[in-house]
Amino acid sequence: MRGEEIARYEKLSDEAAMAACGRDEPGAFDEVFRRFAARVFGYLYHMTRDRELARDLVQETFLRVHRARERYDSGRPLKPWLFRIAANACADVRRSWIERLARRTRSLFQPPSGGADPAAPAGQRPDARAERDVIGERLRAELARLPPAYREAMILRDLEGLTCAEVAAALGKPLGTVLSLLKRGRDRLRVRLEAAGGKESWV
Amino acid sequence: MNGGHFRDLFEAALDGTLGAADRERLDAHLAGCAACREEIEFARRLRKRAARTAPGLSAAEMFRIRSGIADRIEGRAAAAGPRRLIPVPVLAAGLAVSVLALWFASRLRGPLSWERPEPALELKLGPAAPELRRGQFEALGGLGGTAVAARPEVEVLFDFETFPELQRATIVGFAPPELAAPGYSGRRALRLARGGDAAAPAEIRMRLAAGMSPSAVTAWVRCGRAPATVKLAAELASGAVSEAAPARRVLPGEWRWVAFSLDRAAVERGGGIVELRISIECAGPVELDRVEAWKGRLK
Repeated sequence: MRGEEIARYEKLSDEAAMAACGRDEPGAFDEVFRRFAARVFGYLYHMTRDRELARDLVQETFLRVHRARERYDSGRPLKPWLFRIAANACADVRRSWIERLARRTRSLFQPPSGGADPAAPAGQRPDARAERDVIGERLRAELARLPPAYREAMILRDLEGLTCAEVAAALGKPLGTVLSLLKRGRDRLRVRLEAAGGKESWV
Repeated sequence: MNGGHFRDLFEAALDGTLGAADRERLDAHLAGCAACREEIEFARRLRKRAARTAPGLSAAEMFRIRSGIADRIEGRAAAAGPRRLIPVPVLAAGLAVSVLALWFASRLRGPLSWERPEPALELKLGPAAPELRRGQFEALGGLGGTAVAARPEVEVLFDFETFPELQRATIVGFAPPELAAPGYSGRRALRLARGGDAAAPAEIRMRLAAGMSPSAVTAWVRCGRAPATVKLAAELASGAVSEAAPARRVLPGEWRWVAFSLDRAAVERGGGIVELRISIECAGPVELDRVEAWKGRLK
C-alpha cells in the first residue's frame, strides 16, 4: 500500500532509505527522490541557469542513483554521494559537444523572448513571475558568472546548506581546497553584487 | 581573511555547530578582522536569501521527472531521455522526414485519414519557419499554448512545460476530427499536421480546470516577405466573446506581439470549466510562432 510505504520510510534516515532502495524495497526509491529532487534541482538550476536542462539533469541524476543503488554504502552519508552524482551529470553535459551545439542552435529555433518587442508593456511577459524577483535574479546571474569551481562549491554550501565536509565529499576535493574555493567565491560574488547595487541592496 | 586556521570555526559558526570555547576564539578574531566580519555577514545573508531564491520544483514537474525515470529504468520510450541532448535540428529533420514519408504514403495508398496535401508541396527544412498563407488558423488553447502554422502542414504545439498548471487541462476535441492528437508526450503535449487547405480551419478545444481562467492571450507572429495583417480573438465555449485585438500590421522580418485581454467575469461564468477558442486571422503570408495565454492583467 502506498500509504503504508510512505509511513514506513518517513521515519528512516536518508541513508537508511537509500539502503532500502539498494535492496529494491518498494517505495524506497520514491522516498529518496521525494526528499532530494527539489534540492538536486536547485543545485542543477543554479549551475545551468536553464530550467529544462536542469530538469533533464535531475532525471539523469536519479537514473544514475538508481543504477548505482546497490553500490551505495549505507555507512557513508547520502547527501554528498547524491550531489556528487549530480555534479558529475552536470559536468558531463558541460563537456558534451552535443550540448554546446544544441545551445548554439537553440537560438535559431526559439522565438524572441519577451523583451524582444519594445511595444510589449513591462511586466506583461510570459516570464513575469520570474521578473518580480529582481534581486534573486541578479544573485543568480552573478552566481552564474563565477567560475564553475567556485560556483558549485558555493551553491552546495551556501544555497543547499551542505557542511564543508559534505561539499568536499560531493565534489571529490580536499577540505582545504573547498574552504578556499568558498572564500574566494564569496569574495568575488560580494564584490560584484555590491558593485551592481550597493551594499545592502541585494538582500 | 588571513588566519587560515579560523576557517573551520568560521564555517562551523555558519552551521551553528560551534562550541562555546571556539565561539570565543572566533569572536576575538572577528573583533579585529573586518574582512572576516564582512565575509561571515555576507555568507549569512546569502543563506537567508537562498530560501527565497530557490527555483522550486512543482509537483507536476516532479511527477514528470519521476515518470521519465521510471520509463528509462524499464527501458520504455527511448525518447524519454534528456531530450536536450538531442540537437534541435536533428529533431526537426526527423519530423520533416516523417511528414514527407506520410505524404508519399498517402500518394501511394490513397488518402489517409487526414486530408491530402496539395500536390505543389513545398517543404522547407532547416531553421526557417514555414509560412502560413492567406487563410485562417484556429486553435483552442489554454495557458502556454504554442501554435506553429505552416503550409501545407499545420503543426500545433502546446507547451505544457511553460505552465505546469496546464497539466490539469484536458484536450476535449478537435475539428476536423481527423486531426486527433497522435500522441501525448507530456513535454510537447500535442502535435498535429494536416493538409494545406486553409479554408477548412483546424480547431482544437481545450478544457481548463477551475481556477485556470486566463486573462490575456498573446501570439508571436512574423511575416515572410510581404507585410501582413494579423488579427487575434478568443471565444469562450459559453458563447461569450472576448475583446478582440485590433488588426495589427506586421512588417517582414520582425516578430510582433499581438495581444488582447479576456473578460475575466465571462471566463469565470463558465462555472469552473472553461473552454476557450483562440483564432488567428492572417491576411498575407505570415509565420505564426506561438500563441500564449497567461494569467495576469494586460493593461
